[in-house]
Amino acid sequence: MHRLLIATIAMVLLVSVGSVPAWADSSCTDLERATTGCPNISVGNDGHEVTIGGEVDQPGTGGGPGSSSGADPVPDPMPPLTVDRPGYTVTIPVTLSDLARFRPNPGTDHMQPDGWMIVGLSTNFYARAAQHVKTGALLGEPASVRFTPVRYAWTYGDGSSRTASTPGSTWDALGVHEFDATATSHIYRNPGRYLIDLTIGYAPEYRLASGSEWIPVAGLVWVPANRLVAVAAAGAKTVLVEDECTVNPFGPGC
Amino acid sequence: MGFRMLHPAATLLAILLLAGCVPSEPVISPPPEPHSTPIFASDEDALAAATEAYAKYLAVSDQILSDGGKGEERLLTVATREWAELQNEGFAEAREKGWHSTGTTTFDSLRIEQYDSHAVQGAPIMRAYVCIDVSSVDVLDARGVSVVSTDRPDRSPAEIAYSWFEKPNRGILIAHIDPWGGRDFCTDS
Repeated sequence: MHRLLIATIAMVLLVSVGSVPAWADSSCTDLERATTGCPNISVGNDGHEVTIGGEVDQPGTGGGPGSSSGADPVPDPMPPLTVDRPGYTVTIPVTLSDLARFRPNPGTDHMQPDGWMIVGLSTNFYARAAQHVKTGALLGEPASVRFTPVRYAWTYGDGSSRTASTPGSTWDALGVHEFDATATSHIYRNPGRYLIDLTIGYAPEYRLASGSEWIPVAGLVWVPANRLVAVAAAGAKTVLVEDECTVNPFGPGC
Repeated sequence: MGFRMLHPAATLLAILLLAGCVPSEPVISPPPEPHSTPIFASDEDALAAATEAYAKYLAVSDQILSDGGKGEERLLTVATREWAELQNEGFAEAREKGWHSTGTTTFDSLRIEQYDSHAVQGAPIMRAYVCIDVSSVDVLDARGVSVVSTDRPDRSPAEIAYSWFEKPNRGILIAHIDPWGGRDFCTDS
């Protein structure tokens, strides 16, 4: 998947490396900013102009508690796209259905401990998903669609669920002790076997080959990740530890 | 003799079974993936890195413009090559016309839009919203006369894209700065 991602990014870079970078139209130099100010976003191209009108809302007011990556809401509503071609003008709002042929890569769901949990203690779930770009045709033009994972919806198999703005992370990466509560942890109350499902919501943005800006599309594309099957054991008075607690005082149960 | 035939793995399994260490139900593990250490441990780390990278960028860019656009290669220490090349169009203009800047560009309200803590080398890692303030910046021509347009906005909203380069120790570089085309979140209204 990573190799594919790199290959896709390389393709996008190849597309943008020309005599003039594809995004040069809308960017401005620091000198321009200091003298005349940067122009408003406008995307142009020879004889095949794409103008972006409409209002993009101010970026959101910040992620909620526990938001970690991809925190802010997608700017909404998306700007309508006006395509001017010789002889006629079409205004096309790009919607999720237009992006149906672009499918984000599924992420992966992980848990700590791996494959089991202890009733009454926190089980740490975390997702792995990365922003990536897919290329294809949109509105009859070569286009790229960039997917950014922004929502993570877990169903824990015990009737409860959680939707988070953060993918979570390992206990180690969070710098907390094992079995500590995290923004994405869950406590099982009963022993048993559980099926845990994760669905990741990706915020899509598109960019036509003739354009330069990533334009957000309203809504999210939800893609299921792998299913985890795990067994919850009743809380035990004795917990097997990986190392002696004197050797690894941060080990589980120490 | 028979015990000698026992496969080591089978021996291990037997021991584990006796010790009660094997779960009775099958466990499906997630597919393997390359291990990587998160680039940022927290939102705060990401914000600190984004702020530092942009502050460094502005310091270098201001310095180049105050030097009349000379020494433009210095921007490569804080920006990607593609972005530095675009900026060099402005630096070249300053060199040709004999312009130089005074003052310091400042910024505030930098806010992480999103980040990918497991970005691959050279890939986009973060995007942030920022308010750029050029109110204390002046650009003077060779005679010392300001060439700043009267309707230049002092503050403007922008979106910064960052790239991540692990090697050779370049860290987080400015990949792109776009004027924000939506509602102006930098002026009170």
